[in-house]
Amino acid sequence: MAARFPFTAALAAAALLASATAAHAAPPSNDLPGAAAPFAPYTAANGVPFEQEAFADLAEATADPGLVRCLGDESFERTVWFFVPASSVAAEVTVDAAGRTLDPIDLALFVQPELTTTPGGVNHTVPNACAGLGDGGASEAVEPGNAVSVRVPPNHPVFVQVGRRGAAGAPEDERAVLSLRVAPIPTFTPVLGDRAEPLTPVARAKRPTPVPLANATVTSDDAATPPCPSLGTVWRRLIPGNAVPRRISVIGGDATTLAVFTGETPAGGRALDCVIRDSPGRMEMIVPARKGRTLWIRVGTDDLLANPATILLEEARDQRVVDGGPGGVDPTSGGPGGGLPAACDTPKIERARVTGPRLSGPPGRYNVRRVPIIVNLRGARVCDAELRLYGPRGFLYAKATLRQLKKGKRTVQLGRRRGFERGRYRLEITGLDRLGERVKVRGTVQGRLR
Amino acid sequence: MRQPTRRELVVAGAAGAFTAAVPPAYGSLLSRRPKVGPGRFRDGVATGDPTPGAITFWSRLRTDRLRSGARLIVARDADMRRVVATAVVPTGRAVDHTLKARVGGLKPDTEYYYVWESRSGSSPVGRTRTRSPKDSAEPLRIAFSSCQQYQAGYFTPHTHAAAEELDLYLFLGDYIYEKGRAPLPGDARTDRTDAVDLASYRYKYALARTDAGLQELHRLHPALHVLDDHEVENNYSDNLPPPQPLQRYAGYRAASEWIPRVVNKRDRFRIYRRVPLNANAELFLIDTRQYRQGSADGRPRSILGPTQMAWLLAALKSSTARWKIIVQQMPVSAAPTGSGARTDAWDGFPEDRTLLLGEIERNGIPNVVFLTGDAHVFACSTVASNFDLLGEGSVRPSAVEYIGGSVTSPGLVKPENDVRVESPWVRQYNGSFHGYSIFTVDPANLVMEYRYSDISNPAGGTSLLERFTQPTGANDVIRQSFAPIV
Repeated sequence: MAARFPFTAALAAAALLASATAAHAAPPSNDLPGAAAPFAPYTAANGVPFEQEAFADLAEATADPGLVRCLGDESFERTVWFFVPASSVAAEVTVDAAGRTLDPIDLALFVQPELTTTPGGVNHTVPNACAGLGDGGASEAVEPGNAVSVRVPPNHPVFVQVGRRGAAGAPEDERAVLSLRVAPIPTFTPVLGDRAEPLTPVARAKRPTPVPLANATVTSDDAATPPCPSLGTVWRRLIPGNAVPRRISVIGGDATTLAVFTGETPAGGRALDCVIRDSPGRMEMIVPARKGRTLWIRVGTDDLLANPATILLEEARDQRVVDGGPGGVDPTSGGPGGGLPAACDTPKIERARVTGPRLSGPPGRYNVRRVPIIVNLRGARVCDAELRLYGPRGFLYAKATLRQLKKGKRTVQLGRRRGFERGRYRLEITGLDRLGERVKVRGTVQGRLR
Repeated sequence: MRQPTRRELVVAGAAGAFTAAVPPAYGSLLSRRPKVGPGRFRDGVATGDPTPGAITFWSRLRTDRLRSGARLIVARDADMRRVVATAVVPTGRAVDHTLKARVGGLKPDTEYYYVWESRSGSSPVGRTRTRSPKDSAEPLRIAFSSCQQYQAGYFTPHTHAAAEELDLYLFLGDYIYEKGRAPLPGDARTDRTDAVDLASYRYKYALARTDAGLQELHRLHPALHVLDDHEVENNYSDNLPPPQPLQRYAGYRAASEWIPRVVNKRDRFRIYRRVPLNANAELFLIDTRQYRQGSADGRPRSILGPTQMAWLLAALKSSTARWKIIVQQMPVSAAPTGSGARTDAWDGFPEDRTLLLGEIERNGIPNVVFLTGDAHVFACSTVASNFDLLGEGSVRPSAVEYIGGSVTSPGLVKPENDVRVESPWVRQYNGSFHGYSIFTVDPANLVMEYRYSDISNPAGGTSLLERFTQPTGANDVIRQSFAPIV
């Protein structure tokens, strides 16, 4: 019996510890969107802050089942919720988060429909803007920052989801200090196509479609595309009459992003890809089409007073876009935007060398729509490869662009640009180096056509 | 064609290897890598935290875009032909569009040049230098300053410091002033903004960096920084009571965004650390603001806090460098301006001062030097654990303190003789002038020079004010004055 007392005591202690742990493990009061916490003003000795603060205690927070984790499966492992009340005027809303450590913080904004009064909001499954590791922005910096911004129309509340990843650490390391900045936009006129709905204007199939961008906002219709963020977006619909892929181009320097969705609505459908503006010129993608299936085209801008953009549509059989088109860049691999593969993150083009059979035979053999050229690439792959076949008098006779030209021997098809004739020809291949600059690949494929 | 044999170096500019497996649902597209984007370089370039093999590079893009990025190119020559490292660094609103990259794999004691490129243009070409190896006995030449109130004058001292041949530049705090005000008679410039949140603290750094002298100093010399109170709030410390968490976060975050220093990944607020330079000198960066205790909190009074004090004592005892240089904010010497105790400084925490200096004395730690900011004066003092006995001349000094003047912030103007009557350990005092300090350390001597500048004019000149020669083991100085003593 004497020996049983310590055992009983140990059991009791264990039970106490368990109950204490259970009590300690209670999730925070704002663990669910229905109990989202407000931001609060704070004071400073030397002035009146414009921003408001809140604290996200994430050590004991739980995940939100059923919600899309817009920054990947590992994101938003533990989340808490906050809300930003509706403003009577349009506003630019920015939420910023920082912890004592530099560990990743995930942020998502959920713009609610107009005049939502339901305590938990009605849109808390489809985030409209996200920021965190994986978005390609400041979250990926050596000393990361976490902030997300949207421009919202009047009378639209916003819910904020704050999350962390991995196993929970010490409570003081899990805490995030949030700041909220709501900058009112006093003069605001809604832009045509601000919502993605049945009344959203249809893009013209044959002619350029002007798209006003000034006063664009983010609404609950906007499914977040973290690598391609915009403060505001404008929508157009395309209902293809056939199944030919469509090249979607956006012209206009103030248009900073292009995204295309399919489905009944964008939020309930699928994002095909997104492209961000990189330089002047067209942002492009070639999307698969199905007769009667709506394609939702979203053009984003960060400028409140943006100049209009133009959407161009054309059928694009057997064509390809490389890395977002001439004015764009596709921050994601593959897809309709033609993003470069992950292997191109560290290109080693200086090691590449191309050889191949001599070009020979009569010129007429090459006077076909797709000119076949055999190349043997050694050393390293070539990313964003441009193949140009030059001939007599230095003219360009055929060319092709490929997202990547892999190592090995293969036949590539070049689009013919002019009629072949007798004379010397040489193939020039260029691609991107580590600096993102276009450089030539060593070696040549050349020959004389007689 | 570009040279194919470019040496590849370790570049920790971005976490480019992030590849999460994500189902092709709506909106779950994830970025593969950072991209070079738009933005112009109007805020200069900078480097910091040099080691024998690595340096932190800094710049900032001005753009309205939510996200952007820039390419850093590091080369051995000013023409940027001998490229040794490149990195694409992401940025965005979340970090005020600042750019920071830590580049490793560099050669010790070597000059490097660097430039940033965006889609909109290139930055000025900067120059920097790695530290010498730890066992090197080469002399070091280091400059330092503190307290650059924007309204009070042009940062002329920085223009002249930029032109010096330096191994390192030290900022001892009050890089910005959180308080704005209406212009006063004599103000050189205007700053009406009160910094209270992230946006306004960021504004302060952007405003300071509009000064051409400061930009030039950062462009040409690697720097180390400690922060003082005005980076958050006047006389701020964590027990007075502390400022609101968001204000404190905002102050420190803006500083880490704009200053090319390495932030401790487990504690973004931590400043104190050792920086071994070479066999001649080791720096001990300390923090006399954040860890104070004893002001109505029931705990023993301490300016460093027990953890930092224990760390400092252990670090000093274990250092093998000839000169042990404590880089810090507040005057250590008693009544350094001859106007009674400065309770916001070490004077207000005599227990800590006695402990620190007493341990230095008891352990016979030689050649300890304090580099001090905050006071807005040029002053040099000897220090000991018992200032009464030091004043009587009955004990030897245990260290020397150099208060290196302010860049622009006004100081207490008082005749040196009056200061020395009250504080006989003060060897020199000048509260009128503004400028910077520069010193060399070698195995035999530490030679400190105070330089004063005309801050009323951005093209103003700089002159030598004082020179102090401190022989090894002396804990005292030989003074040479180059301007009339007032």
